[in-house]
Amino acid sequence: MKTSSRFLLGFGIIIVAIVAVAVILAVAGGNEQVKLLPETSPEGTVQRFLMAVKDQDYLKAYSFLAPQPEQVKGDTYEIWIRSVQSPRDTSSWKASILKSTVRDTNATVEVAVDVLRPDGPLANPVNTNRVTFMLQKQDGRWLISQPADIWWLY
Amino acid sequence: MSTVRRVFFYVLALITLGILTAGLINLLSLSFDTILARFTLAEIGDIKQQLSLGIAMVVIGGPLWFLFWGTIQRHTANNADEAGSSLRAFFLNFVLIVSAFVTAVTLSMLLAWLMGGCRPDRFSPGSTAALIVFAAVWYYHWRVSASERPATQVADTVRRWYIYILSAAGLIWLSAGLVQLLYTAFISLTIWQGVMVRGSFWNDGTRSAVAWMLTGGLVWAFYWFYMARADSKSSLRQVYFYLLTILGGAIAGLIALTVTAYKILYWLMGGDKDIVGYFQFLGWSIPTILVAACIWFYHLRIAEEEAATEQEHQLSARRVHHYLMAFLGLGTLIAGLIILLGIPLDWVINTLKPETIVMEPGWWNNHLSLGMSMLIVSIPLWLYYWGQITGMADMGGVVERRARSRRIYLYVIIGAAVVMLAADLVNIVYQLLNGLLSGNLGLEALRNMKWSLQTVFIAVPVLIYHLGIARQDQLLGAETGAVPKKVTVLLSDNKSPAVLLLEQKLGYKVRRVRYAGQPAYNVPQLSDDEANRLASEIRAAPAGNVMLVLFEGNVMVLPYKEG
Repeated sequence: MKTSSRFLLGFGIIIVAIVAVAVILAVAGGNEQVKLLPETSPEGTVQRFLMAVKDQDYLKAYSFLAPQPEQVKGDTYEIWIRSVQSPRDTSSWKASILKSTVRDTNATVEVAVDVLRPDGPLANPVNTNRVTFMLQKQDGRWLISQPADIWWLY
Repeated sequence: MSTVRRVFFYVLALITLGILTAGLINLLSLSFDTILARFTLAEIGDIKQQLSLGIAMVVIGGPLWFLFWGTIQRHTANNADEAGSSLRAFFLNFVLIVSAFVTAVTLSMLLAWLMGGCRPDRFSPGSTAALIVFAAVWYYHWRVSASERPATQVADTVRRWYIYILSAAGLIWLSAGLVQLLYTAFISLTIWQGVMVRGSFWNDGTRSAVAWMLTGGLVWAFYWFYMARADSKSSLRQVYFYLLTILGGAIAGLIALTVTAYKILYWLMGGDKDIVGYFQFLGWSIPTILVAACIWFYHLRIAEEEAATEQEHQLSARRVHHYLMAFLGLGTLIAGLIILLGIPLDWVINTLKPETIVMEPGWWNNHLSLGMSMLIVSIPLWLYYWGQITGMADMGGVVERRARSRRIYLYVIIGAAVVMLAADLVNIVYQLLNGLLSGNLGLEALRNMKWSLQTVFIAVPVLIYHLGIARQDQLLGAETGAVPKKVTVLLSDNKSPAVLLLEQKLGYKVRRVRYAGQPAYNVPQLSDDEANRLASEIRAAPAGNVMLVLFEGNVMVLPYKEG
């Protein structure tokens, strides 16, 4: 067997191995359940907000947002829903917590949102958006003050 | 007339033609508006302004164009060299391309309007006026161009560019219109449940698709079957075949095929439960695959038939096609493998620190479907064409390994792999050093270098494999003598069979200069052996430049140096 043919055979074996590992992990990963974080924590609020967005339960998602200050009171649910319901494609996404900080009644939760959107050959199909959620503690509940819109999903 | 003076006249003729054309369109558009009585009282002032501007443009632009163009035409009438000059070819073909494009676009708009029942309120006076004026401009310049024979290679090439650009545009319009029409028909089928309100099939979109099909078909038929006939020897035609139609058709078909495979795989893995809406993508993907396959197959057949007259040309055409398809297959295969490698890396990151708080159910399946669909399409394609290439290299020996398309294929892949590796390694080293220096070397660094790790892992074997092939070729002598001499041939006939035979033996084009003395002498005929001997003599010449004089049965090979 020629050297190039041996190399080609090796390359074929690598391809088969990659496919096998990817299939096993994707099938196993498909059944994986994410751990629900405590509802009373800033991370738990962000998680429930993101899950509501994922399930397209916008009324529930809106309930995790802090009421707007007086000067922007016009920013009601009707206006918010119009901004988040813009047509989006069927791209998949997942979110991971990178870092969280709590100081008295304020907290920040840094999240990486990976959106799978194929964009031509040899281009990274996963677009990672880093978003820092700012939260305030109001009546014993953590609520998201910023960002209210979901630009990070597009 | 000096070159500067000629350029001056052609540029001014072009500008004044533009002014005249704009003025005529303005006036004609106003005439249509007047006939249809579209004005309101409030618009009367604007119309007077438009009328004044239109008249001014025609009154000033018209005489000036007659003056400059008339001067050019008088100069051309007594001068055969000017009639076939490169400058004139640039001018004529530029006007022809612009006017043909505007005529096609406005014709398509008019056809859509006609098919829509000729409603007066939807009539566009501006585009109809542009159609009439630009069609007249195109016809006039086409008649002028058709009556003249390009005298230089540049003029000939410019004319070919015009023909093949329009031919390609016509083919694209025809194909896109056909796919759009089939897609509209597909989604208008009554099988799709859950539709509450259904619009008419014969809507603006359908009429526009049919209009583009008719326009594209007309343009393509005229330029491809009439204008480009009997042009089988030109290099630009080969570019049109292999880079535009065959490669373009293959890319369009492969994209549609990959998307189809991806969507079906994703659905099979339980990605989307909405069967009714989900499979509507087949309405564009299947017509695209079929249309692209027809374009690919038809042009491949024509290219092979035209090349069949000469064994060497046929082999070269087949070789170019094989390498292009292998390149497409390998590129898609690499892309698919890189995506699949992301799954284990993602899994490692998630296992080391389970930080995921939300994940859509289709996240992993989507990755898998995307990578797998690319592999399903690319592996058979690459294996088939690479197998053919390997067979050709084994049979053809050093001549085959020395072929320019093979050298380009190998060095493009090696170059791309080296660039990819360098970029990836820069990112990996940067992330490692940055993590070390900031004391933050951990998952964040791994996350940031994930894509680079995926691409490095694939680029390395690809680079090693192709370097091995290039090295093997080099050992067999594929690189020796690959640097061609700069050969200039002095002769009176551009298309001399002797020069064509010599080019075949050398494996590259030679520069032709024409003998301007009177009377034109005869170029000697060369036998196969004589051509081989001449090619060897040129290769062995002690300088990089060789002047070849073919004169009345004699052949002189004169090596020379510049300066």
